[in-house]
Amino acid sequence: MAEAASRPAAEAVITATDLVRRFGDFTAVDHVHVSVAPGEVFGLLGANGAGKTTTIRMLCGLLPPTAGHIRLAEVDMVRHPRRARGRLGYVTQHFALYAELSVRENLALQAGLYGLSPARARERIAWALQHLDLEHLADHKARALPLGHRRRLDLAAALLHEPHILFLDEPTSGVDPLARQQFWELIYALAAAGIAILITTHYMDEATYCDRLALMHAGRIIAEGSPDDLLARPLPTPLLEVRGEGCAACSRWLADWPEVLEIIPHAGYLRLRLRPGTDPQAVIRRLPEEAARRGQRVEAAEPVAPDLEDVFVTLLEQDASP
Amino acid sequence: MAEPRIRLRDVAFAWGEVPVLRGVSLDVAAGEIVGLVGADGAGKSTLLRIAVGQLEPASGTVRVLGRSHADPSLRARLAYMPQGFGLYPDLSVQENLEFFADLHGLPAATTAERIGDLLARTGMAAFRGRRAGKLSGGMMQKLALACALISEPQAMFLDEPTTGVDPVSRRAFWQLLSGVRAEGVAILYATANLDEAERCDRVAMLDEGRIVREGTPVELAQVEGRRERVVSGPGVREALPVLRELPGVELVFPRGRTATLWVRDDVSDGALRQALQAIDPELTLRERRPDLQETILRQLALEAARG
Repeated sequence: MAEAASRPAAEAVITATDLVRRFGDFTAVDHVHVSVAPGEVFGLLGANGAGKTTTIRMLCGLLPPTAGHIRLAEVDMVRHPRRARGRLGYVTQHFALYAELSVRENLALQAGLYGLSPARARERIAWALQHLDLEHLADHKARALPLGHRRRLDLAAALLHEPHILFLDEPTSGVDPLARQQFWELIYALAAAGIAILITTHYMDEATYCDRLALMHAGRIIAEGSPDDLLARPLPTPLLEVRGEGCAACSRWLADWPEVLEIIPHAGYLRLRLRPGTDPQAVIRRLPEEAARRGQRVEAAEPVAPDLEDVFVTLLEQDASP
Repeated sequence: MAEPRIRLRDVAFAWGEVPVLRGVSLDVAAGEIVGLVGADGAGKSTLLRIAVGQLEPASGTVRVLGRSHADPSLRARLAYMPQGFGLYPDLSVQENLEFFADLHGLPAATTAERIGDLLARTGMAAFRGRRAGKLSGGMMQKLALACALISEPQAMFLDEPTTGVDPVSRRAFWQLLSGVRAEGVAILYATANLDEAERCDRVAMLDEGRIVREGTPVELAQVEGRRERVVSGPGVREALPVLRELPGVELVFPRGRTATLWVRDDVSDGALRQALQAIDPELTLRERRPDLQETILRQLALEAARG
């Protein structure tokens, strides 16, 4: 069971193979494979411009791939785009509904666009208002809602036709921490109901909430696995945590050490990322006396495990250098 | 001891009848980054706007660099980056910097020198001719910070500057900011990115216009009488509703295939383990170092539940 989270199940409902998208000479997506099982929360990460949104737009049938295959819930997206689209819900980066319409009016309009019968539309709108905790706001204009609730309305609209698959493109960007937390509880509830979820985010805490992650760079997936898998990857760049009264001042001279690749300042301590091949123990031995020589104090220095941000930064760096 | 660079005392403010700030006191010393966290509507942006003299508090005092915040001579010595800070998309990187230098009335020679320095520090020298509108989100924020630094301010007020910025660019942004801190600038930093709170020297949690907690990240991560525990197991998502009902468990946050529990100290780990066994024998319980992000989030959730 423990491995289940790190590997896509055989019966994946999102399957994209060898996906390529070119814009003129520029390859935005370069032979990408994506596979997401029912009930799985799959995170697609990467810097701006890595190709995440282009990938999602192809998976949603909004952008034809230059090459590759997409199957959504057993339907071939390229051959039967309309049928495939009926199986998916899509929440874009920006609020996509009508600001001047009320919550209920927006949902009614979307239900019409999905072609739901009036009876079915009433039923689904009632479901969405209740499950996304929007009932008390049903008659408020969308524009008057706080951002977190607007994103929930976007999600409600994407769920009206009971999709098997949900694409969420930075749904929580700019949303406050508590509203993000509540949004994630909804995501888990939808996953528990068997919906396959593909989400992009820039929040590293949210990356750790996913079952599986893929990191994109320059149009390619350069790493994939559960958050624990990725954290367990041996990195070529050792990490040290350096503590001591006023140790922030140490960063001035540490920056000149050839072994130090990056200094990540935190409150009360520094994290040092060392160059590949550096012996961290040698650095640890030298630190206290070098600090003392300058009238500063290093009380403790020890190797630490990377967090996901460290892993990503390192992997992106490796990929960018030839 | 010298007066802190930024000093707020009992600051209150209301939009009409709606109170936004209900008596906020906060200090930021030279070379310190104080993080301001809280939900939307907690009053973070209003507090920053008052501190930079854009809004007048209903009561209370604001002193920046030892002067009243309304003192016009302060303008040149402080920097403010509001949300969606307005760069000029049609101007180049260089022209944006020149524009802000001009606003501050810097002489031409100083301007050229500072722009050269800022372009080098931000790693943007190669992009000086690029139109700001063509920059990536991360570069745009670096340029915004550079524009804010053009007058060599001694106090900075930043309102959620890294929203929508990818992790790599955000790391570069913090590198820059730490350099600014090392030069002794006092920085008040509002953020909705709770992992950034851990990089601040001190953190103030704002809720409904009041500071409900304040301290170093390490202090804030601990709460007396409560502790954090992590439950893992393949069935943890299904078990969430039951976990929420366990005696002594005040909050449960789902986190991938684990859940973090906020447990009252009067319930022992032994009792908790027994309860977990009864739910699902595969569920396990473990400790971990108190996590600031989770603690802040829990307090926001508890305050919201109370309100």
